[in-house]
Amino acid sequence: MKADVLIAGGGIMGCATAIELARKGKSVIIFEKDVPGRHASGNNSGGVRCQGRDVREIPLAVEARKMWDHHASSVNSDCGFYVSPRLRLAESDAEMEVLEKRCAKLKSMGYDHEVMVDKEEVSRLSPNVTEHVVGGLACYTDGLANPMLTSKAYAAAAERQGVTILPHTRVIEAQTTSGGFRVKTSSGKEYEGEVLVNGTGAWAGRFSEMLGDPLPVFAAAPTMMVTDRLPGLMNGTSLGLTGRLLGLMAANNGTVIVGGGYRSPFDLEKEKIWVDPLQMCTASKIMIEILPKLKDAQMIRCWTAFEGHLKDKVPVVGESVKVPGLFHVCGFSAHGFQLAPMMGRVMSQVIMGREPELSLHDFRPDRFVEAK
Amino acid sequence: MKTRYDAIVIGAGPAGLACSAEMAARGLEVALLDEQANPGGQIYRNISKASPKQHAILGEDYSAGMELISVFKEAPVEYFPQTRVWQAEPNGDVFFSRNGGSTKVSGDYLVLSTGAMERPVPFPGWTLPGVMTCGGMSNLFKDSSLSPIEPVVLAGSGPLLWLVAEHLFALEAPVAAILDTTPQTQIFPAFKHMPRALRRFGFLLKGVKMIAEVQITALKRKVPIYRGVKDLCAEGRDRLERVQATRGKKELSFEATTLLVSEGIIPNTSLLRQVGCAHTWDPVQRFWHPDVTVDGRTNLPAVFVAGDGNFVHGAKAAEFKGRLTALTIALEMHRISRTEYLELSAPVRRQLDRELFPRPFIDAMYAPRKDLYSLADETIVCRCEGVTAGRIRALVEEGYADHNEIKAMIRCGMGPCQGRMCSSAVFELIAGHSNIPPREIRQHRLRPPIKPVSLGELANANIGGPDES
Repeated sequence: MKADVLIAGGGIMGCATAIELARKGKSVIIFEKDVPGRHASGNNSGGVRCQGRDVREIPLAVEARKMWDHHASSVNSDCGFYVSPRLRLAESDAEMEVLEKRCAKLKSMGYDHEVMVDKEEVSRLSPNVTEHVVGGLACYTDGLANPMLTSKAYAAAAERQGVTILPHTRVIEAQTTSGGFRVKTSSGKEYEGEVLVNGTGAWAGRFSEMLGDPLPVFAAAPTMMVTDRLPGLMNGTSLGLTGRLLGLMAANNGTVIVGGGYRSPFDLEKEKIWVDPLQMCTASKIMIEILPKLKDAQMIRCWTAFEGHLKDKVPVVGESVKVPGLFHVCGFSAHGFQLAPMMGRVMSQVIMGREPELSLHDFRPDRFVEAK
Repeated sequence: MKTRYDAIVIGAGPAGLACSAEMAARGLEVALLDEQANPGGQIYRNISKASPKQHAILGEDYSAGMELISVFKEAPVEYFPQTRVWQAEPNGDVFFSRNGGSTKVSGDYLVLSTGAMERPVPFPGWTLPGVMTCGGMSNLFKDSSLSPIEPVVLAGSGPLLWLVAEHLFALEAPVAAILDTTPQTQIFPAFKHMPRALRRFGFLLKGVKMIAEVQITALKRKVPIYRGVKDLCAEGRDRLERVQATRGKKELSFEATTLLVSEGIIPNTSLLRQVGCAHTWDPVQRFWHPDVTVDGRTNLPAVFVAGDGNFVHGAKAAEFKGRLTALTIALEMHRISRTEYLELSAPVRRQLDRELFPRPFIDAMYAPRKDLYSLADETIVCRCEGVTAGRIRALVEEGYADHNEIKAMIRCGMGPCQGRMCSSAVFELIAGHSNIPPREIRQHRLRPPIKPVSLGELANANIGGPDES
């Protein structure tokens, strides 16, 4: 079988890219080893945030945020999105300085979506936050969404655009040909395409190696946790810390989703992840220090999923230098979810040979080679 | 408490008590962790504290547990009541909360004797206050001598229904009706197991006698008993006011403030699944049970399962399974020789075999009926998140056949019970509305903590870093 573009990975990045390409008339086939949204795309903590994001990603994130308001028309689902202001707390004057520096940097870049807030505004936004917090950095337009609904909505939208998604189909061989690429799958079939997209998340390092363009993507498995319903406790404001690991999402059903970079031990080969209870204990300790009322809250569940990381904590987006026609969109290092709609747009632009509407220079695939 | 034991047993029902006492008797260092305040599990719940009146009402099958308790109390087992295990690992690590803090303890062997639970079956109105299970009622009586003083209806299928009816009659509770939902044709497939069952004639007779006595008392007290009842429905504004059902063309309606339901017993596999025990689907009993050998071995070398948690066989069988498991572990740890093992285990095996003679008959007789999960669209399936059968069915019809995905999309099974109450029904909805054979349907994943644990208890943790050993 042939298509203009072959995409490995039916996560949200692969599907977003496919949707945009199909809208521009390209034929696309997606190979998904499990089902769309099985790992990071469908099982992340649902944060749709600009706040606290690496400044290199800010231009893309600000554009992506606008697109989150229009999912009902773009993918026929609101993806469970709602606004929950994200407030990064400073627990000391030194931390306040860190936040001020960031705020100034954003201002110099022309962005004003994040603003410094004082202690009084902190307690207005999040009345149960402990006394010792001195202030924070707030992004009033940040929000939360349902990752599984989003992943499924993207996959369904891609299919409506004519994209073929092959679930339970793993790419087991991929090689370049005179006209592009030939891919062999676990179902024993072969596919050909002019362009090949690597949207394989935690498996992106291995996938790129198969094509002779190894990327230093490594896998990680974050531990996410959720409490019982605690109406009013978060006051709708999601929280982050400046000097310690913690992200608390104020879900609109009253539960608190806990993220922030706690990691679980895993076995990528067997696709098995263990929950390390020490992480739950550490997170609980910090949570109670920040919101003392959480002491009697119940932790009701943990969950995990595989995601792809890079050392410099920003993704790889763009065409391979070594293997022309191979495009990477991977290594989002635990903060790709919010960027997805925008990634579809810029990926389709670079695949069609156009200049992307925003620079992807910081995400170029060969930056690690240069670094050596 | 030490940080390491030869074996850690979880659950102090008949299997856990017998297993831990037997292992301790063979020289193993054993810790027994249990959620309740007193040993006994569900069947012998609160037995050591129960009053003579409670013993009299609950009868000799309950009091029989006293012997087990006294053997256990003599044995040098370190017993930790009111201890909530929320995570276990295949290497023998166990995490639990107790006295407001969290602790880790490790065992060379783990014995999971977490018993059975009542099969949760949704029906219209099952979330109304006043609706509970027969087992729940039985627990209230065992713990606190509570029984209904206002009209109560019993509905369902299986021995527990009749047992609780017997107790309520003895307590002079105002029983308004007994609604037996067992299909009346179910006796026929059960017949072929009768010859084997007759080898325990006394046991069968006891059951028949119990049901007959309930019927006689019902007749005397003018309590209606209906067989082959369908369409059970609980009604009321803020709590139960009325129970409705049909029998053939007849519509039944009873005023009641309590409805006790019982649709059979299934293994409680939460911890077993979290730790990673392999499971098999039983097409007759329609439940998942762990792959366990008669001596308790699972697919995980350090993890054993004893009692009703591997297949529902009742209290006496659980006790024997517990002892066999204990002897196997003692053999593996070289505390007894092969010869001793054979000598000690042979009589227990015989007793267990004898105990199991009537099970195929009882299992066939009270197998879950075909329409048990023919749920109306508006029936709530997930109590925690209020998700209806219709919403789940719609997703299944769209092609979703994995409870984990359905959960992430519409939240059924995402609440504090982690799907304990809805996963059987969701599984049946998937099996009934997709073309996937039940044994191939992906089971609902269980993640720690398998029981809610407070952040205060987690923060106050003494679980150490990497294992010292």
